[in-house]
Amino acid sequence: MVAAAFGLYFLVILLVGFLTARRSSRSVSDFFLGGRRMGSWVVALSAVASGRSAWLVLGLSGMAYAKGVSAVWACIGYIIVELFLFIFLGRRLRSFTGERGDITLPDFLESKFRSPALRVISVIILLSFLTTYIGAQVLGGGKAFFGSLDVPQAWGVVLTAGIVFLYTVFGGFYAVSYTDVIQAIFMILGLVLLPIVALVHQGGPGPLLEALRALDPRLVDPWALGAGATFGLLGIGLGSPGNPHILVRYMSARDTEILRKSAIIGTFWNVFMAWGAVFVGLAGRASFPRPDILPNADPENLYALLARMYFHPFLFGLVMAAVFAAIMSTVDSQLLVASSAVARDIYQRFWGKRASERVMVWLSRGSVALITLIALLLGYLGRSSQLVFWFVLLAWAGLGAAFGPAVILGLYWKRATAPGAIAGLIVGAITVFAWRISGLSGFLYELVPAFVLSAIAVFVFSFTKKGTEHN
Amino acid sequence: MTGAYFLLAVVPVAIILLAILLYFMTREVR
Repeated sequence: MVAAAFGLYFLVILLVGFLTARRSSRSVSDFFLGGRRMGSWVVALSAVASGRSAWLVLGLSGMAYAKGVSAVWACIGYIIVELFLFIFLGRRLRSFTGERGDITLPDFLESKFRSPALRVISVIILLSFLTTYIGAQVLGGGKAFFGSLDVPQAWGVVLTAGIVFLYTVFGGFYAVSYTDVIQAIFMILGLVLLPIVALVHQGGPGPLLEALRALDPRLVDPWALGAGATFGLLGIGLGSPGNPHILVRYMSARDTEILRKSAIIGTFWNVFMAWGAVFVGLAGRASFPRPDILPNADPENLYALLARMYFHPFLFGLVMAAVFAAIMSTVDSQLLVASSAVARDIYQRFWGKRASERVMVWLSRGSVALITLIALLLGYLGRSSQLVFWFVLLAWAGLGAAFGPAVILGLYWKRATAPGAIAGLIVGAITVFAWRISGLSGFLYELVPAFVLSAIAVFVFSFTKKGTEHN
Repeated sequence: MTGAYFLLAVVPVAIILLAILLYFMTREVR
């Protein structure tokens, strides 16, 4: 029964990949950006589902289990930031890139700052963090296969990467976006149905909170985490304006008006999903007060445990498909962006200006295969690692801190220059690494200081002599 | 408990209202 539900889910998304193969083959712009023809629902659900990985379903519910209501701080920041991105930055970015014909983030940075060096540096940073991100997610997929279907983890990694590869390589941006919509719906199924059933079992929100308070008063205290951690959780939102797999969603909209509608749809989805995950965690804590009762004593296994407890095996299968939906909707978008960095940003820009669209589309498909192989290798190398979310948060911070300030200031500050943007990219990426290695992440998530330092670097270096001349 | 209710009920509604407000505030007059 469980396998049948999974089979149904995988069949639907593979079908989308094959059905969109012809449309995506028309040009590089179609393959990597859906020909800029996406409507409000597709842009909205694709942007938010790509931004939320398995961290939302497993990590956030686990955090709510462990920390109580203060886990809500982890979602407030990114939801508000993404609302503003849809309404303001996304529209400006769509408008600028549409006029210049930019398909990728490095395309945009080069045409905005007129610097080929900036393109090369951005591709290096983008590929280093994105491949880490994809590798970690694929490994997460392997673990989820093992946890829900008893498939050996190594095979789970291959299956996750293989399924995403198949529909991405054929359908390109169309397949990635349309499957994101289907995956967003599966996630709604999991993160709305499960918390409602769990809440009903607890007698509603009032009795649930009373039970939590009786267990530990800190579970219902919004300030239980302390200022540093609360600030760090809010800071997660700073990653959204710099993560290229999210930014390209705005660039794919049919026009700027689409993005206003997407803001409403995307925010509703973001809110329902986040609070759904938090309620899963809270209800789970009331049902299983001690973490050592959970499988492997790990709160991240709570979602599967509750789903198995409350649902018929077929429905359990569908609800567990939400975990894969969360993983795949992120991996496919990242895989396509990483491939565009190889095929479009490097090859076509520097060597293949005369290559035909047909050749370029096939080269792009080759890059999707190359990046999938790298992800598989990383998933294999990190096979015994327990740190899937450790790498996910590192990559999210790296991309957010490196690109976020350069993109924002590039669009909103007329005096921002190429030396400023280059300095911002380098300072952001290095600070994320340095902060994480120095162990300061326990005190404050590295994205916050790295984003601030990167913004300062863009600002200061835009005033250098070379920068002013350039300007 | 007031704080818990604030985070679990008031904040999500406030965010959705903010989205609707921004949607109407940015309407372009044609």
